Amino acid sequence: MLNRLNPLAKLAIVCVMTVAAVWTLDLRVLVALLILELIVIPFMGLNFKSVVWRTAPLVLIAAIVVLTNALFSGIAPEDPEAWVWAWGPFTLSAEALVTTLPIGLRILVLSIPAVLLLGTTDPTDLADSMMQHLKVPARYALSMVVGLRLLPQLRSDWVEQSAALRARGVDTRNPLTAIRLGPSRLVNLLVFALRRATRSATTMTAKGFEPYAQRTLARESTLSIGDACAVVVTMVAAVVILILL
Amino acid sequence: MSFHLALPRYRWRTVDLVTIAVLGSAFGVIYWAWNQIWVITTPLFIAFPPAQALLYGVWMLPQVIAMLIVRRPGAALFASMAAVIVSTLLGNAFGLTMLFYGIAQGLAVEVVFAATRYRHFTWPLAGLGTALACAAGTTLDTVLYYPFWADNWRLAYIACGAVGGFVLGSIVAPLVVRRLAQAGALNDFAASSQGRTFEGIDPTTLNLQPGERVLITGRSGSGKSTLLRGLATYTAASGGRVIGGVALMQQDPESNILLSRIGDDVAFGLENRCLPRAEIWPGAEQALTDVGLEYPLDRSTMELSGGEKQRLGLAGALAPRPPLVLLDEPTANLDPEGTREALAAVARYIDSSGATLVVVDHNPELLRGLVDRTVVLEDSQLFEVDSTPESSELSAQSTFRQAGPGLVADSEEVVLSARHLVVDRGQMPQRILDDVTLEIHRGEFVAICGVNGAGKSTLARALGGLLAPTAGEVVVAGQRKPAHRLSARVLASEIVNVFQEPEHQFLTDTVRQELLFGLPKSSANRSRADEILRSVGLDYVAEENPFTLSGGEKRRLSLATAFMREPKVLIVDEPTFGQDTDTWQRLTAELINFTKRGIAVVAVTHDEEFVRETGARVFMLEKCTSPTQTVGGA
Repeated sequence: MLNRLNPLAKLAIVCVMTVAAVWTLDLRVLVALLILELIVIPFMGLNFKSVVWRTAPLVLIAAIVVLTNALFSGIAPEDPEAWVWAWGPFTLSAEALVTTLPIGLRILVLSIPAVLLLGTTDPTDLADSMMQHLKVPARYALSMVVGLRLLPQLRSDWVEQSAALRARGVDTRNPLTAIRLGPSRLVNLLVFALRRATRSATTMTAKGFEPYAQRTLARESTLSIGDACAVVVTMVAAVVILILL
Repeated sequence: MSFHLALPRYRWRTVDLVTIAVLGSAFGVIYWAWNQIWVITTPLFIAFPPAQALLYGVWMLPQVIAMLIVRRPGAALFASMAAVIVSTLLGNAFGLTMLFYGIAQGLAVEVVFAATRYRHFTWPLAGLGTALACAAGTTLDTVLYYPFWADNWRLAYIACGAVGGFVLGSIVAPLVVRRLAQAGALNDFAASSQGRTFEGIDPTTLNLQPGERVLITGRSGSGKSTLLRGLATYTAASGGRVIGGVALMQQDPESNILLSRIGDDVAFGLENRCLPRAEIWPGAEQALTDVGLEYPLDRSTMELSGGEKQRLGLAGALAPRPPLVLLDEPTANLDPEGTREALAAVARYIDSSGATLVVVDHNPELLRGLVDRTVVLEDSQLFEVDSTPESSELSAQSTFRQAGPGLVADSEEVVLSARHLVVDRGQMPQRILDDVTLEIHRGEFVAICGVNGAGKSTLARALGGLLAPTAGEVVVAGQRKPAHRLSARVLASEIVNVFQEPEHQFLTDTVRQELLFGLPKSSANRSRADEILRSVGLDYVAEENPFTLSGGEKRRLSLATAFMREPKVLIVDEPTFGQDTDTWQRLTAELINFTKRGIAVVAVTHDEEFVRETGARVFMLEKCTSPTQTVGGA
């Protein structure tokens, strides 16, 4: 199952697909890449519902981007019969939609693997892997991991803040009040986040962390033959599609 | 506004890195949301789509804010990358191309500040940096995602981005930084020049001898925590490695935990000491066993209870076997049983290692036998206490006991009642309260007690109408709707809730305004506010930003806001936590005064002394069962 791969292998696979998608706007190539991805999805080890849930917004976004491209492409046949839609100076023709379709496919090809493979990766594992195999300095990787752990607390801060406002007679469900208080509530959330950052930094220092010092790594992140194979197969498939089509 | 000149420093401190990472991650979530909103609202700009780029600057805020705060080369680039990485991990439609954006937009801000050699951090530069970053981002957009647009549309799009970026970057970013500084969130940075700063006292004046066990007490707000932190970073910075490091337990249990798996968290300190892998895991397991935390190493740190978090923090701090242990209020916020366990673990470690111990606390009784010297911190000076700590503290309390609790006239009038209350919480619903029924009478004092995790705070929230119960209801006398469905205004006039975490309740910029919030502007209210501030000992900080107060002061402030009102019921969560004896007495007296005025007080508390003094009726809450009603006193 692909979601068991080393996070770095997943990242490499997503990189390959991203480069391929950005490489060309050839309709046939992008369709082939998309088909390749759709074939692989069942082997990612995700359940059907979560795949749909994660990819549905991508389709919507791709469609909107195609639409805006078509609208402002300047492709406007003289013959009103060819228009699909018109409003003021803007016209939308079937021809323009077909021309700009590849941009939607580009979005799908590069976002589907990112959402399905990276979206299911534990940041801790990714950081471990990057520190060991890519020699990413611990100061960056670890401060990211520590920072990410503080994020869910922001959500509970928000809930807590709403309850506190209610307790003091402020109705947060009133949209006008919500908009009026919004900015200062957001800044207060940042205050909480930065306070925690400072306290976490104190804890890191107390536990002997120094940004430029050597340290060992407790967990071994292993890159297996399987990881290598998956990356190589993706590269070969992408290159073959790019060259042949 | 102008920012002061800051000398360029080319190496990161840990606090810089974590601050940028947190800032970037927090904005990464906003990025992610903004990505979705951006594309979905595109059709709204149908008349002139490039106009949408006027809002592009929102994406540049983390880079610019990070640069204005940290003021070091690379701050914008790191913040930018942190934000795009988080956004990508959350999953957006632009996948790894976000990394191009991260690099381009981060570098654009760096270029502008680098042009002044990182010496000036003024609003025009912030605006310029944002404008350039927006131009970079919008250019990438037109190449990657709008390749079919006609050239004039593309240019208009990029121009709109730059203009919008300048406005947003020159106004919003500096304003946010100023607010953060006023709230004291930037005290470790050059950008904090406007905030209230503490003159911490020199840690060396403590004259700490190896193997000593020192207790530091003193009024809340006297700078005890600051002293302890100073001691920790001082030792760590001045060759802490050589002497072997420090174990520091900060007040908030959460801040002693860094990573998301308990094994990793304990291993962190061992990794820093460069232990080989083979020695790290046995060491981590041993440390967890020592504090009595028997979970698998990959257990999530989020799932621990407050007491367990405290013990995990202790395990992580003691695992590298440091020669100096610093504890900030270890007895607060834990049930007595949990406190004894944690302190026993500390005692075992101290005895076996001969380490030096410094404790800041208000509860000398619980620490008796653990410490052999007591120091009082007052007016930025340390005073040795010759006599044993117990005698001085106790004499103060016994005078209070003579004053006696203003015992409450028993009243049959029910003001608040909970009937068959059931509360489930969490995504995998867990029963927190099961069939709780209780009645609160007019002017009575009720203490809700029980071990950690018994659901005391949840019960307080439900009673306070701040939480919708799964079943059952809470009713305020004279109201038809259940408490959780009352409008905020009505609820606030009937019940005053004071939270355990006071910060969430602060809404204004000064301590005095905080008391007057939501009340009619009258001179009577103003003089009442001043009177209350004096009585809780906050008059000297009346004009300060509430966020800049010490832990104990914040608690007193949130209680003071309650004292301004005349509700039917006052619900307070852990009112006495972290207060010195003197303040403890005044707070307790104020609360008793409430009951004399006919206001019922419901207090969630671990403080046995407090329960005795107030003569409260005790509800013992046991884990997930009905409360067994016992009569007050121990």
